[in-house]
Amino acid sequence: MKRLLFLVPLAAFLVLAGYLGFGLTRDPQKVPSALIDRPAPAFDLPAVPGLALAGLSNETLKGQVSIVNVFASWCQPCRVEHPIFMRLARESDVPILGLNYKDKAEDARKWLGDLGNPYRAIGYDIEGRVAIDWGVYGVPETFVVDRSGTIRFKHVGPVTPAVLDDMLKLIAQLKRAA
Amino acid sequence: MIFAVLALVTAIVVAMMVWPILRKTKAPPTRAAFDMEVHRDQLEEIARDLARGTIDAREAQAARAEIGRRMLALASEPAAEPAHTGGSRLLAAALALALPATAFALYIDRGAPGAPGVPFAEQRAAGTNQDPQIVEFARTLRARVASNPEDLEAWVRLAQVSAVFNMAEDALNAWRTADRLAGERPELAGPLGEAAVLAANGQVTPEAQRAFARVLAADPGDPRARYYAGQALAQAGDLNAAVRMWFDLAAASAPDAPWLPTVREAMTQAAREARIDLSRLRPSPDNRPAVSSIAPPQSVFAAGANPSVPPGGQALLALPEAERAQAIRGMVEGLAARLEAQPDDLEGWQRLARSWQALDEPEKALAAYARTAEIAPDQIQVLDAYADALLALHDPDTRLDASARKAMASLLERSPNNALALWLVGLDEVAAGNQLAATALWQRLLALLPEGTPARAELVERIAKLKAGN
Repeated sequence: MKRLLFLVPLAAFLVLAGYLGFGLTRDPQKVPSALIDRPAPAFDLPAVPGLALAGLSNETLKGQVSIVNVFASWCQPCRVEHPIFMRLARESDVPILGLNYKDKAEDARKWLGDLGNPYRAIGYDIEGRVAIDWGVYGVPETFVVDRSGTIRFKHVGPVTPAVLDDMLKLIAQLKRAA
Repeated sequence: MIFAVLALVTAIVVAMMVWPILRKTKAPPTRAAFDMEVHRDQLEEIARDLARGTIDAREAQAARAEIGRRMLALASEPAAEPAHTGGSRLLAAALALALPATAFALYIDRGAPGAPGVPFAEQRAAGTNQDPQIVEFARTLRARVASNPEDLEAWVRLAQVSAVFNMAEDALNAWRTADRLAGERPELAGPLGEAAVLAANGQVTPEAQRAFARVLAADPGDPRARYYAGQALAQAGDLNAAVRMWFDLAAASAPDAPWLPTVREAMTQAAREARIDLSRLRPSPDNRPAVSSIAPPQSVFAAGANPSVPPGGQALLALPEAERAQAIRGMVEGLAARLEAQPDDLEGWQRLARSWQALDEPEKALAAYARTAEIAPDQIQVLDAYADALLALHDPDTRLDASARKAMASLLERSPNNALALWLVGLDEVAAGNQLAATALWQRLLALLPEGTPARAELVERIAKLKAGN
């Protein structure tokens, strides 16, 4: 009986390994979000200081199907997806709204100056509080919000051409639905 | 020094593992001994109660008898078996031996005891060109632009030197200034764009895109601008347009164009991602040859003294043409003589090979390349350079010599889809009269070449000729 006690750590390890192993087979970008099909949390963010662009609040979201992109100048994957938003801003009329996450204003300004600015409005979330309300746990993240201000889609990680296609299909649908 | 420290750490680890095993463990009190202690306490308690008068003598007697019976029963129980320690001493010895032995064996297998130490300062310097003449030259240039910020030539040179030193930000700033001073000429736009891409770790920034757009406005054929314009499209997610751009560029390039492998790789990857079937693509009807008419950046300032050449070279440039050629030949011969004594200096032999090639000495160049392949018979890059040289210098109607054949076989073994090697070994087989072997190699090569390229057309013709000859 006492001997069996020694097997407890091994059993615990096996259980943990099995659980983590199962976790490895799952796509981390498909985390179920509690916010899907729920109204976006109430928020009102100022503009990025020194940038001639409006801030972001629930009012901005109302009445238009829009893309909300959480970004930061210190985030490398954000650089990768940025040209995709630049092209989208050039070639379509879907408003892209930015949520600048835990960034210094001057860094954000330089970043947008170097890489271009696809955003119609940017909320400056230096403390990251609003991002927490939105359920953001890593930049970049991208949301699609419908006319009523309800979150319809969420993508964690850089947007790829394939993800963009999915988003554009959904946006077209949402526009027709209204 | 380091090995003494490692030995000490190993000793400590062994000690930590062996100590608890060897330590004489105090036997835990047995259940019986513990119970006996309790009974002894009970006996004392009875004596105290009796003294206080809470129990009378008869009760005390009965209680003592009961406790005495229990103590007797305890004493007659078999003693607990003694803890055994013989096995653990053996285990400790095995551990003390096995741990250092395994560590040592692993190090011999995976480690590199002969590798020289690389202190931090050397690591930094390794990324840059340590040639003191170039370092001095860079310093002169910085002084020149500091004293005269309008010195266009110095800015262009500084940009070029900064690129050599891997200082992408500095190079970009210098190109920006030079471009502004020169009045935004297409000659500078190409290098400016490329510097912007390098400074952004490969991202074709809006600034770089504008620069390449300027180049393409001046010359739509410019291969560098076309490659990066494709890259910008791919990064923006427009993979179809990017593949189209690169496909046209590859189709319009000479088969030995140095950028071709890069373009092909980018194109293949984008095509795979976008599920585009490359074999169905045809070059655009208005495709331009991938050649640039844009002059090199140096052309934007009047040709005067050529400060891109380090001081020693300045004297070289001053010599008349024939004497200069003689002096350069003398330097290369000096290098060759020095390398005779250093048959394993890979870098030296590579430099010698390139020098002979530049001096149009095919036999000496090929001999030097053969040496590089003997020094590094498993480095694909070395073998690749050799293959390049063979393509340029070797007479295609004769057989490869033994060392070249061995090097190309080694290259094919390591990279079975190496187009150059497939082509060269195929030629060798033809020269040897092995039409079948040649056809097999060239069929493999054919599968690698995109449709509609001149190289493919020529290869198809060659294969047809081989089959007709059989």
